Amino acid sequence: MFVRSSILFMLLGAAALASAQETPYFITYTHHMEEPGSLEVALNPVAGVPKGGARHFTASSLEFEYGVNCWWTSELYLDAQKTGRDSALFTGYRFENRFRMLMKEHAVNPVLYVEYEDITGADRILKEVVGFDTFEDLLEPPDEARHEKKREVEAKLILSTNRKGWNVAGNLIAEKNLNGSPIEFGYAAAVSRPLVLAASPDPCSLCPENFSLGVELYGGLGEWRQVKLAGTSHYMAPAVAWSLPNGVTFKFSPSFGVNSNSNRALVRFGVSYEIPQLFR
Amino acid sequence: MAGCAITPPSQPAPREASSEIRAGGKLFAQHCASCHGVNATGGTRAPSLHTPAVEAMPDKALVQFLTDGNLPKGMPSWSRLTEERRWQLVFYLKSLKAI
Repeated sequence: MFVRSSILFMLLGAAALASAQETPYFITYTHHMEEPGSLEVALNPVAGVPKGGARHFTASSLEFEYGVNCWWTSELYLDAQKTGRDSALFTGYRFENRFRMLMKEHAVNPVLYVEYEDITGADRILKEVVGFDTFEDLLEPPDEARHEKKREVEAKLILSTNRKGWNVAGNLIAEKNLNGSPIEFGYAAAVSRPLVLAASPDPCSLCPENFSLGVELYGGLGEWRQVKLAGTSHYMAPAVAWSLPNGVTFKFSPSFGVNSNSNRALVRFGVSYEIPQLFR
Repeated sequence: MAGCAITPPSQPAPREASSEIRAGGKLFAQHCASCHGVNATGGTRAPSLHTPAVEAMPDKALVQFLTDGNLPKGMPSWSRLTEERRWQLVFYLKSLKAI
């Protein structure tokens, strides 16, 4: 019901002419902000291929991203998941704000990201890896895990640059569970480029200029006083985005675990629609 | 590193002018028309671009302006577009006549 309603909302949305020129990333943030007054609605499901006896799952995040102004973007996420033959669960929400720190374009552009999460232990979006997160975190049945409340504050330092058609971005993540657990760290890094740098003179949908290819790397960095790459999970994810002139963007990215602590794969899909100048 | 400005944009190799202007017009419709109007004549959210100021601004300066935007005043940065596409937008803007 949740997924069907989301798709219906986007299909019935006004056919405004807007195109966000999206990067294909699911995890890594860039310095690109949502255009002021525009609302982007996105549905980003992930299909998990775990290991160690954990059951396959599908999780989904419904996202509402709004450009408050040119240097401030705000976003609300609503998460849900379904594991095996269990019932679907609403697993919580996240509220995010990103602030661009410099008012002009520079060689490296910093953005400050702050987020509050109120999710349960059954959340399977796995939008970032921090601390010593491993595949074993998914072994607990969702029906039990959902009773665990996770209220967390997260901050990211986003550094991003555009150069000769390439975007390169890196995120340093610090997350703190408000129950007193130590601060956990993680990272995400990505690079992408459109297939064609110049636009063609004629309207087109299935043309190379509307496609971007990229790759992401993300994983944990341990926790306070134990910052390290070992003992946590890491993923590599090729990614592709297809941005249509009418404001719809499709994305696809399979994440592959690159060490023994990681899940086998997390296959991510995304569809988003940008409504320009919604409240203006 | 964050304090280093980027190098000024360089004009790409010339192609057929009319196709570049049409490409720029397509990009304008996709990215700019929602604020500046379908015909770039402006509206309540953004000014008309049929102005002597746009006509007189050097091409490189206009590309740089698209790159930086004017964030405090509501003009977003278009650095997410490739430099080639920003030049195509400028070719289109330069084809507009001041009203």
